[in-house]
Amino acid sequence: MSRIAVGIADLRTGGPGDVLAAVGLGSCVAVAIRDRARLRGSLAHIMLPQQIDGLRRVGENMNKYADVAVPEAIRALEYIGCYRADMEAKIAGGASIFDLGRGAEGGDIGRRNVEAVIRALEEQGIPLLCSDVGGREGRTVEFSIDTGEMTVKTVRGARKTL
Amino acid sequence: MYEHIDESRLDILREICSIGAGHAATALSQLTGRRIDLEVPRVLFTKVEEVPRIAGGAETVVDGLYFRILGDASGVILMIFPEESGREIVRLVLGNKEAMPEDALSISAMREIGNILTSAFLSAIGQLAGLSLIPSVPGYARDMAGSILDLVLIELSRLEDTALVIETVFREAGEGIRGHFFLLPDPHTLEATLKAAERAGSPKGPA
Repeated sequence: MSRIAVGIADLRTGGPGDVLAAVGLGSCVAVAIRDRARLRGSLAHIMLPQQIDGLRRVGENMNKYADVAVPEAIRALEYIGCYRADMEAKIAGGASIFDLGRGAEGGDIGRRNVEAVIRALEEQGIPLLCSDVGGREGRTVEFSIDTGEMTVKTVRGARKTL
Repeated sequence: MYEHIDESRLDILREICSIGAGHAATALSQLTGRRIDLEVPRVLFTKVEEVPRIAGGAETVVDGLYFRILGDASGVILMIFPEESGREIVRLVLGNKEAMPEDALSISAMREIGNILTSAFLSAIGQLAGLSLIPSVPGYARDMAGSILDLVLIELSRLEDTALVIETVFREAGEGIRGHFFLLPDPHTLEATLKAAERAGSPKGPA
């Protein structure tokens, strides 16, 4: 088995025995998608809901956007032989780490990220099985391709399994 | 977006930051009664994905203080102390050996310390560049470095996939206190600050 690190704005796929990990998610959201029949899955570490002005910069890493990374993850899984009908999703993240006061810029980015991910999954017709989102704490997420379990750790809280 | 920053302007930038950070280090020395040394600031152009690594790894638990720069410029200042350092600073400032790690008093002290350091830094830079720079009310969190940094990365990545990060490390001789100070100017602010500093003449090193 191998542990595959999924850095910020990254998207990775894995197969049997693999564990995909996203470490230190604050307002970012980890989106795990798995083909339950074929033991293949992906993890995306998204930063933003969507591009603000709709202008694509040359060479820009687009997988940081929820509305790009979700369909891209599905495409990547289809490319390695998965079927959309067998895919299901779990998500975690989207916290507000700093108390920036009401109306402060960036204060609600976690919540907006979660909304955008949920919307993108709905648009793609991928069922969302469970989620662990919001709150004030950062999360580390590990997603097992074999079991489909997503474990979520925080600095203070107990380990959760989704 | 940063192509107009050549080597001589990088020197000016380093110089300005070193003076600002020197004032902040002096403030920290006075607050804690310890001698705090300062590393020469590093100016890094880095992919936003790499920034958590600079801060010692995404999962390291740190005290983070987040400020927006207000006034004649905009940008973000982030101060990160490894949790043992954060505790040590609070303990020294409060003069309390039994300070609880996360009680209200410690958190409030941490915010206040951050405020003092950031104000010292910004007022020194402001004087050099002839700009009025004020820190916002600090946001505080003790959490994984990755979670603390991602809000900043998110802001940066709206504009660019590369971040200009100015990093200074504070260090006590005995290593009891250590901290990272990150200045992330937005590109327009950077330009304005450099222009103002160039007009004001190349700054001299800290006394």
